Amino acid sequence: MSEKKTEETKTPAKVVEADAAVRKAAVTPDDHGSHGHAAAGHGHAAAGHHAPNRAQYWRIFFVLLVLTILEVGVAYLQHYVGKTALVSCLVGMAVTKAAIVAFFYMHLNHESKVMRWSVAIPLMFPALYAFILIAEGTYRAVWGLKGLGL
Amino acid sequence: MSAAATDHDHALVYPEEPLYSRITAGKLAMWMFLLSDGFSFSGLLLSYGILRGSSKLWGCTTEALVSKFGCIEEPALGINFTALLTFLLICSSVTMVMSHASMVEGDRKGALKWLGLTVAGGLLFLVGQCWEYWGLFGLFGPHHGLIHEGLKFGATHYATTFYCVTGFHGLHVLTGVIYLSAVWIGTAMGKTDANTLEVAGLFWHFVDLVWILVFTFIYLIPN
Repeated sequence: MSEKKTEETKTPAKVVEADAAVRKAAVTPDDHGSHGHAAAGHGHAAAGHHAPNRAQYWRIFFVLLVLTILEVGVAYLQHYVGKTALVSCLVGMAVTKAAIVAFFYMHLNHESKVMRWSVAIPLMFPALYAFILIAEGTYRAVWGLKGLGL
Repeated sequence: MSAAATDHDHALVYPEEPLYSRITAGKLAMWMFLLSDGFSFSGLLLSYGILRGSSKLWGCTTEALVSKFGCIEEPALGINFTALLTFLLICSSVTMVMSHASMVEGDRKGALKWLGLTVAGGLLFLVGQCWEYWGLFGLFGPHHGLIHEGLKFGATHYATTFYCVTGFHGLHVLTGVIYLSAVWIGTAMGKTDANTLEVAGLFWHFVDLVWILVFTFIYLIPN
């Protein structure tokens, strides 16, 4: 909390100066040879806000792998499980996987709240429309056209 | 001259923006492009959903359906093989993020290694998709491809939507492979930075993300 306040009270010029100092410290001898792009091009990592977490990347990979195996397994249960449950389960797992990729691999977890919502809100509309379509399709499949009064 | 400019000729320091933090212009532009591309895929998948939901017959894939509807038999879409393609794209996503991580840590060689693996994953995916469509002239087993087996573009909604959605995604994979190859060359020549890799990675992860949805909607959801 106090850290946040200190950040907020810094003037833009001071932030830039502090950032430049951190960058300078983070540049390795090898980086100097290649104009220090690796560290310099990535202010967040150099400033300690966005350090790569390799262990987390591998954990996410295994989660995605397990979810994919589960998806395939669920798809083969089509003769034993109701269609509504099956479709809900498959769509739920797909959306979870997509969200995990966007959040961790596309680094939305490191972006500001406004940036995250700027991406999420526009995509909610086609998702909502898809939900309505799937719900209607499932309703038709279960109750037939008579259920809709047609 | 700003402090950043005096610190290093090539180091652009992005000021802390109150709403969007320190996001670079390139990254923001890529996100805007990905959103518009996401709407394109949404349109394709939604029209696929509408056509499938309103169709009495979706894929004349069994003899029972042929005798009942008098339709021409079409092949069913294979789940196991496309699950393998999904696995490939997930692998290429983790190698992409590792490439970026290596670059952030200043390990250019490591970044090149992981990026090369990502490109290889994309190429394998494309070979897999060609095999699915055309069977690659029997090079990899007795499978002759969906086209040869009767899944003809324009013949039914089932066939046309399949080729439109998976073909459009395949073009994205091809674009990604070309884009990442260019970034690989740039990285080998020392002309890229971690931000370049992150922006390229955004495109690649998006391709993976879209495939996750395509795989579910086209291949996994049963009739």
